[in-house]
Amino acid sequence: MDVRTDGLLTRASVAGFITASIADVETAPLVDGDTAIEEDRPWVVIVWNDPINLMSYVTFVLQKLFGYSLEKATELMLEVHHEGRSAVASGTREQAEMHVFRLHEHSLWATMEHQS
Amino acid sequence: MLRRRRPPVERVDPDAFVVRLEDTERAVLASLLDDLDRLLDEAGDPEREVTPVVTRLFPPAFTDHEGRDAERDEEYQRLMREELIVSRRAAIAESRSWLTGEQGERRISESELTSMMRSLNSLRLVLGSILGIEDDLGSELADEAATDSPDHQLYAWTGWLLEWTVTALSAGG
Repeated sequence: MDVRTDGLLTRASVAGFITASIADVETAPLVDGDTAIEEDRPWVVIVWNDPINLMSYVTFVLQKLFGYSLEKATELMLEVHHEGRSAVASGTREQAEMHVFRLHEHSLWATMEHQS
Repeated sequence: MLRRRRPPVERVDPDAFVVRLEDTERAVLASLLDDLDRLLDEAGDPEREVTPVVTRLFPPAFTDHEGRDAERDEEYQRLMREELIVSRRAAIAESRSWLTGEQGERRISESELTSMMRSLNSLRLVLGSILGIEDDLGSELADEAATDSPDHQLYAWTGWLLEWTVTALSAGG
C-alpha cells in the first residue's frame, strides 16, 4: 500500500514533536520519584466511537495504520461501536503520540492515556 | 439518482483505480473540498471559538481523566495542529488535482484514492456536525432524512462514496 504522502508528513511531524519533548526533558527540573514512575508507565491509544464514522472505514484505517488482520481490526471496531472505546495500541509516549496523530489524520477520534 | 451498472470506484490494477463519477458529482465534490480547505484555515486558529466542528476536526490527544492532561494536550495542540492542517490540505490538493482535470472516467493511483478517502471522512465530520449527529440514532435519522434537505443529501452521498472507496481499497491488488 502506498502511504508515502501521509507517511512522510507523519514522520516529519512526530520527529518535530519528539525533538521538542526531548528538549523539554533536558531542560526540565529534576522530578520526584513518584513522577518519574508515572512517566515510565506505558501509554495506551484509545479510539472512541463517533456515529459519523463508517464501520468499514474504521476497520480499514486500523488495518492500514497498525497492520492488523481484517478479523482483528473488525474485533476492535466492534468494541469501539458497542463499548464506546477500544485500546488499539500501546507503547512509549512518543509512539502513542505518533499513533494518535496518524489516527487524527484519518479523522478518527483518538486519545492516549496511561495504562492502568 | 440513476441506477449505476458499475461501482463508482473500482480497483483495476495493484496500484490503479477507476473512478466513475458524473461531471456534476465531481464538481460538487471539488466545491466541498474547497469549502473544507477554507474551514481548516479558520478552524485551525487556536483563538477561534470551540464548536462541534472544531472539536471533531481537532480532537484532544489526551483522555484527561487523570486531571493533569489539559496541559499536555495544550502542548500537543500547539505543536501538532499545524501539522494536521498541512496533512489534510495536502490530501485535499491531491484529490482536487484529478477531480478538476479532464472529464469522464478517471484512472488514479492508490495514493490519490487514499487522499480522497481521508478528505471524504473529514467532509462527513463537518456535515455530520452541522446536522447535529451525536449518537447512533442521530446518524440513522440523518440517513432516513436524506431526501429532505441538501445537507442530508450531501451527508448520505459522501457516505455512499466513502463506502465504495473503502471497498475498492480493501480489494486485493
